[in-house]
Amino acid sequence: MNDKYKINENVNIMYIDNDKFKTNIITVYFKRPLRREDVTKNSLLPYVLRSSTISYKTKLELDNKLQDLYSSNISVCVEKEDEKHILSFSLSTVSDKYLPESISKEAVNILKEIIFMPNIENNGFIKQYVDIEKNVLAEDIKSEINNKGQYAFAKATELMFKGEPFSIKENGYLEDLETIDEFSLYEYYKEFISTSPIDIVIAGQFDKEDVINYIKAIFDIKINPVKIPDEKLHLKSDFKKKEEKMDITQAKLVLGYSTQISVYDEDYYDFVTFVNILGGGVFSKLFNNVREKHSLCYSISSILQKSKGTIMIASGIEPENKNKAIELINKQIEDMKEGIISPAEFEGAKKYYIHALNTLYDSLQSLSDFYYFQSIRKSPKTIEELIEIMKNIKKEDVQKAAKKCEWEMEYFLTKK
Amino acid sequence: MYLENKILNEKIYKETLHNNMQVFIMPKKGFNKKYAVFASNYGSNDLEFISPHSKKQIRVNEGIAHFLEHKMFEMPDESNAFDEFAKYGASANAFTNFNMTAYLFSATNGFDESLKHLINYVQTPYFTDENVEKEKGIIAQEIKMYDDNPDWQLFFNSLKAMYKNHPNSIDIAGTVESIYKITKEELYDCYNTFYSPSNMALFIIGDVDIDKTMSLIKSSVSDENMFEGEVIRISPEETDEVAQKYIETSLEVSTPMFCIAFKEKQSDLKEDYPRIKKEIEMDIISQLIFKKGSVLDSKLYNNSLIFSSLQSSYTSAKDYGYITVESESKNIDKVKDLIIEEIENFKKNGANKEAFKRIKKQKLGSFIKTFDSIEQIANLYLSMYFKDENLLEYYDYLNKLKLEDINSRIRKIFDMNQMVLSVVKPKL
Repeated sequence: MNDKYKINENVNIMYIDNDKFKTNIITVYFKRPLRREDVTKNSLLPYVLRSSTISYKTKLELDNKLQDLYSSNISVCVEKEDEKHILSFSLSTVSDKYLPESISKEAVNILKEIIFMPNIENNGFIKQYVDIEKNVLAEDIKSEINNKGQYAFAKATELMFKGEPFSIKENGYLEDLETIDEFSLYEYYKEFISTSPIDIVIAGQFDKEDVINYIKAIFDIKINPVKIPDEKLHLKSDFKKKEEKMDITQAKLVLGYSTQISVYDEDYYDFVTFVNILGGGVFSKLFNNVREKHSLCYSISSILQKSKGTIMIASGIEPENKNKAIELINKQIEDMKEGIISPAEFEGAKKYYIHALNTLYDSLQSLSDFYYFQSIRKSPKTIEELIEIMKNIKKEDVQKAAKKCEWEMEYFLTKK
Repeated sequence: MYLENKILNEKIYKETLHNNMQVFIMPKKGFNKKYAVFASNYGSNDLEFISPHSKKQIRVNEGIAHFLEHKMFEMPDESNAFDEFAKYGASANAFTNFNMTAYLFSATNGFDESLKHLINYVQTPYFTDENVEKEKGIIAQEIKMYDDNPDWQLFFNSLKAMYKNHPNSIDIAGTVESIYKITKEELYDCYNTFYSPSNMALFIIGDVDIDKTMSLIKSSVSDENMFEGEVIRISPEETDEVAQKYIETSLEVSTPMFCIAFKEKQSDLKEDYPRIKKEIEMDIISQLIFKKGSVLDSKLYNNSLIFSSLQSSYTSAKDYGYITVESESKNIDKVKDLIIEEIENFKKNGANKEAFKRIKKQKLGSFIKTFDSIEQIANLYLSMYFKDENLLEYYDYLNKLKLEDINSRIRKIFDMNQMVLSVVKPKL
């Protein structure tokens, strides 16, 4: 099902053979360290590349060409994974089998141009397009405020992880944009292309040998890999608290906890299960108690930050119910420390996690992302291995993991 | 019977049960997930109707269809419907929109048991004064969450601007005031009217055995609430006139947001024309004139008048239709003028032949891609079914579409009298 190939020390291919879909996906992932001085350039670069190439000089021409290729789509993603910055380009095409003409080779060529053959003038990108994308990124950064839940979560992250790379914002900073121009960005591009480890995941139905040879020919480039430091666990810290006011109706509460459990520890999956039972879905303690029993909220969930050994719980509530909500939320954690976990909660969380793993097979993009993100960890696991681990999780061990949990952050976004 | 599309290699088994409930099963070999959605042809717009049981005309409180959806999960033994799904790790949910209420789950394990349970709990209404009261706090929080959501407010205000009497101008979840008036009796009235098997449809998709699944369904459905004929729904009289040309609100946002909407005229809604064909025309028009890849979108983006591509779509049901164009801009007046200018251009000169061909190819590709997402297919199929449309016919209609069809549709929908503008401004 999955085959791995090395083009060279720093460029890998993974081939996922799957003939049940009508779509094929090729994703090219670039790995960088999450650094304050680079984060904004990383957030800008792929969009500039996506807007103009040697053969397709404007974004309109590029978009029109892709439409002509039966809705072929090349999308860009810039995301924070632990303390790494991952930039990816994803090409999705309808499999030639269902179309009146063959378009896949042409689509891959466009992907190649976007990554390796940008439109350059006087040793720089085209100023107009860099300026446009700078404006777009600026608006994107400013619009964080539009989604109050996301805004609150971002502010809470900054508060809790102050001083750690994890607190760096995924899409960069407004003030950095002033110092970036078409020349400095092109210089950065040259450095980026020659120092970022590359992983290409090919998923779907192809003439396997043909496509792998084709991709190998495109991506056989020399890379002097940038150093990407290992993440450090979040250390126990003093309690941090912050409140912000805005003209809003519903307040957003975010609480943070540390456990000192690292993704390499034996009890890591006990920790994962603890967080699921706590607030991973409709089977969870937070959903059934804070929402259903006490009607305090509509949305509430718990998320873990795996390389940090931390948990964040987020909820939307009536401003005057803050203390009541905090008390109830912490009670769920105290209950778990006492081992008060019902069979329904325990089995529900485990089964849901296994179900989520099994559903990965039904989406090429999800499968590609899963295998890529596993591959950059120190001990990658397959879907089947994770399912086995989850099946064998014991309640006592979940309780042990819960006992390590300590509350250390409160962020509250409330109305004026 | 089977509905087929040979080019896509897809087929759907369809059967009407003896109690008039419609069942669809779409086999998808090799997929891990099996998905089922059980829906009622009943949404937030159905506020007034004649009860088929008492023959009385009833007007219910706003937001009741959505409230009912929440309460559906209560079981008579005081447990929650989610509990049974959790036993298998199945992922369950529900949603309500203006015209439909759907209860769904996806399972990689225990599908048969989960399907039985789905049919069971949706056909077991259990509303008490206490459990109705408890839900009010939860739904009030949901409403408030949407009150702070600028995309929702922008869109919803455009509906308020377009519709004077039609329930489109009423929020799906109602208001905090309206939901506090809801009683269990009212919920039962709605349930007994709209949750009759004759008003419901079930769509199953995945690697399933059709015969086994049909047997399971037939042994699980109950016949209660069945009555002859269709529900008489009462809709207030709505003329072509819009309620107001401009509507504005201020929220905590970074950049002003706008939504331009055109309300479809009664004469066009009533024309004898396959609605699916009209929807495809509108979809192509949105793509041609406004969306990514259009000359207009490119011009606005290159001048930093917008920062992400224009969004545009057409929504319709039996008694309404509207097309929207939206984005964010620091200069809404200028963008609005450029959009109107482009529309007038298209009305006068028609669409370009090359562009039309290209967009047809794009729509064909994206239609094919839809078949890789089992949830999307099921939900889309059912919502179209309730409008008497068959999703599988999209392919043929798309291929046969002519440039004249597009140009004629452009002239019909973009009547300036039918236009409204909704704006969300940043708070100062």
